[in-house]
Amino acid sequence: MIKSMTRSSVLNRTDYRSMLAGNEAYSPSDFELISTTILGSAQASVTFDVSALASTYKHLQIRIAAQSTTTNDNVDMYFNNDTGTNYSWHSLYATGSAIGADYSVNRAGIPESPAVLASSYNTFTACVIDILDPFSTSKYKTSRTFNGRAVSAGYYVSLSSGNWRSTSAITSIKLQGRSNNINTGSRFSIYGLKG
Amino acid sequence: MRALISTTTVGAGGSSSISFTSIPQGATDLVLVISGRCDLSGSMGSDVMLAFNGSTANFTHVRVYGNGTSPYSNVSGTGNNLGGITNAGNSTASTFSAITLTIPNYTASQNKTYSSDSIVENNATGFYSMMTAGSWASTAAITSITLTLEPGANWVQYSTASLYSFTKGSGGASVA
Repeated sequence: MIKSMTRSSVLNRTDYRSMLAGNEAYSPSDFELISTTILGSAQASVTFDVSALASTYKHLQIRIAAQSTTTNDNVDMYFNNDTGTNYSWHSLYATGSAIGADYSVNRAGIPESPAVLASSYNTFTACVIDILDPFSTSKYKTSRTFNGRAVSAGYYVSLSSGNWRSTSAITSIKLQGRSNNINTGSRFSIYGLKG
Repeated sequence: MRALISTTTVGAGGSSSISFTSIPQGATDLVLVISGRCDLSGSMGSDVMLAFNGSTANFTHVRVYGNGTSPYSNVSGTGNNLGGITNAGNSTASTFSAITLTIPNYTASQNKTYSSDSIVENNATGFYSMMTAGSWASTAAITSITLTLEPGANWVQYSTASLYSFTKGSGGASVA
């Protein structure tokens, strides 16, 4: 509501021919948040339905900050509810006192966040998963993961990979605690990258 | 803000290189995302070599990598202009690498640095997981990027490479 106006404010004005009025045009990013799930209570798994994303995004990224309910655990990833031994996994890791490489082939699921800490440590393990070309029907699906935590209970950092031997387009991504539930407050976000 | 510049998908018959030319100069950083495979026989993985503005000179790099059983590290041990590693003929069929390469300040009048992480997955003991940090001793703005492989190798069909730009924001207070 205009309460007052001076003559000079009307005369000493800047005229614009564009509705932008001197501002920069808005260009939306090609990297977009699709959805976030923050657990209000402990649960066994989180599932993303990505079946409608193929026409919009070329790659996907999942970001996790997770904690286990009781003992240290793993969070495993499954595509399209395939629980068969159609996955492989490899890791380059370090613990502060050791560096090593590990692997597991012909396995069920991809361990995306090894050794998620128990809630007693009051720390959430960070994890970023990239899945390139998840909707391609010409490729097996490869994931790349950075994860880690830095607490005296157990330092851990790794660059790991997973492969799902299927040329089906990914329609769902399930992240599941291996032995325990995933604790309240754990966050799972999925992003799409256009290409 | 990340903006797609362009995506290249290798067609039937393959290609010896993937190139991005006439790169717009108005952004701050560049990011390359590669889902690739090559036809190099007898190997699980092939090095991915970089050329900036058509030049493969004045590069150096350091890398740490694992092959499924052991970790390794070296400096410029496999050609100075190493950008990453991609799946080759001996790796599991239909399996493509995941590579992300970042080049900050690509237009600055300073020597250029880059970092990358690469994954070569394989349903067997052997694989590659590699992190690389490199530099290109040139103050020229980067206007083109070319990705090649080990001698004689070609990118195979369905390999894709997407180039993105990041633009710094404006405003905000400087902090001493």
